[in-house]
Amino acid sequence: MIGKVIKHDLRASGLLYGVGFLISLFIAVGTMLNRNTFYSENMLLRASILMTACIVCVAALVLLFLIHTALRYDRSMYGEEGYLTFTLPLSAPQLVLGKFAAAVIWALCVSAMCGLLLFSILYSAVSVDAADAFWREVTGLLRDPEVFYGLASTAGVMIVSLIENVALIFAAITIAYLPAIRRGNGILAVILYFGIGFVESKLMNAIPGFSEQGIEMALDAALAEGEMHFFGALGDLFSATMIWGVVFTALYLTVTIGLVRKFTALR
Amino acid sequence: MSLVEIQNLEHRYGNQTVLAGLNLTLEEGEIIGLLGPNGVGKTTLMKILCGLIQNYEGSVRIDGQPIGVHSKAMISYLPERTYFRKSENVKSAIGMFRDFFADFDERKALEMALDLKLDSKQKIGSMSKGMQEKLQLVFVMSRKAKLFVLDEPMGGIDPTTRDYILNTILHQYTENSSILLSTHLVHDVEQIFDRAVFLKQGRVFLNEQVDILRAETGMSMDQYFREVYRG
Repeated sequence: MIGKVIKHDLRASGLLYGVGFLISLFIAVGTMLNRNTFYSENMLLRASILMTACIVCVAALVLLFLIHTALRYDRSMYGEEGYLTFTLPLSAPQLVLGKFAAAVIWALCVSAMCGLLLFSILYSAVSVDAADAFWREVTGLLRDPEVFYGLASTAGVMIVSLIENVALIFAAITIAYLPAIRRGNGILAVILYFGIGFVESKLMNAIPGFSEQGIEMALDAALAEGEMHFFGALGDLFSATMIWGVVFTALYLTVTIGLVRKFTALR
Repeated sequence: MSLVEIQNLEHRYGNQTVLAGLNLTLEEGEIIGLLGPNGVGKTTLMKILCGLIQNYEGSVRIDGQPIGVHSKAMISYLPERTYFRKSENVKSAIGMFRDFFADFDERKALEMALDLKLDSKQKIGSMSKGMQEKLQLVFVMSRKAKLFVLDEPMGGIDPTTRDYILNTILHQYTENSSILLSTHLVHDVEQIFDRAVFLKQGRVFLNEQVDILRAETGMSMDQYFREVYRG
């Protein structure tokens, strides 16, 4: 049954993300292909426009994802669609986890597209003659386990952060629609999203390894290790942050499922 | 074991008590009219039965089970409002019902949609409100549910379609299923009721077979409704 929830939720958002990904892909490919054109002032102008477009695309995709995830959850659970959603023969865990899984799939797609856009900015600065040397350098770096670990952890922490935000959005909206709250549910959801996020960051800051000073000390120590070991130290820091993210994702989902199970009251 | 067993059901909206210790038992094989003026708790009761409201006190059991996955699989609910995604079309909505409800009869849904001249490829958001309501009714009545819960199915429907809906409801009637229908248009619908449940002040005021009620009062349901809720 969770599979069916995922299928229908993916389909509900398919057109919007499809259009967004197509536009982003067009810009990413255009940015990379621009380096193949004749070196001129026009080419440099195009390059700067395309790189700016890539950055704007990254921001737009992330914002689109977060806002759309919130609106989709709000409408399908507590809008008129909720009259169908809550009468489907699904348990609260099946419903919430199915929607969460669909959002995670979109999160991974958005992350991949953002990765491609950022890579296209980097690659567009590589001249055609230097392409072979670029790829040799990149594959050589990635063969180093510490570098690979550091880069994978960096990507991982960004993805986990996006996914954790999904769980936080679900929790904030679910709390905002508790039966005792009869007005201003949307605004309250936004306040709760930022409020709970703020509290979480304060909690994180209270733990020595995750505080701002702790992170600064860890990065200084990593830099002191030298260029290659820096990635290993970065990987350790981000791996710990990922675990934190996973724990809070589970916490937010548990709260959401519990509230949906016990306190749903569509008005 | 009764199909629906409700004991001491209470529900409040803030400080306002909507259902105040409601007791009701419904059996299989009946078409039941749930009657009462606006705000008496008909929609709230229906929402509780269908799992849309979970913060209540008292006991509600469908086919011996508390409200949950099992009861939702057995109940086909038509709310007062339309619930399809606007970007959905009829075909994709059929796919959704087919996926989630094992008792959904796709062929019947397509036949009924054709009878009501609904275009299967048209986006639901581009349909008029009346057409959306008809479509919703098609989906609800295309299930072989044990309990049909219809909240004001006649609202906003033209007289010809109303007759079609009444015939469809009658065709759904089997010994093993029941239909719980709320309406203000008592005069148009009373001929199909087996039983009438009148709500007043959050409780069941009267729960009686319609034939007996007519014989005892000498009034039609419509006349009796006006009498009960006058002033």
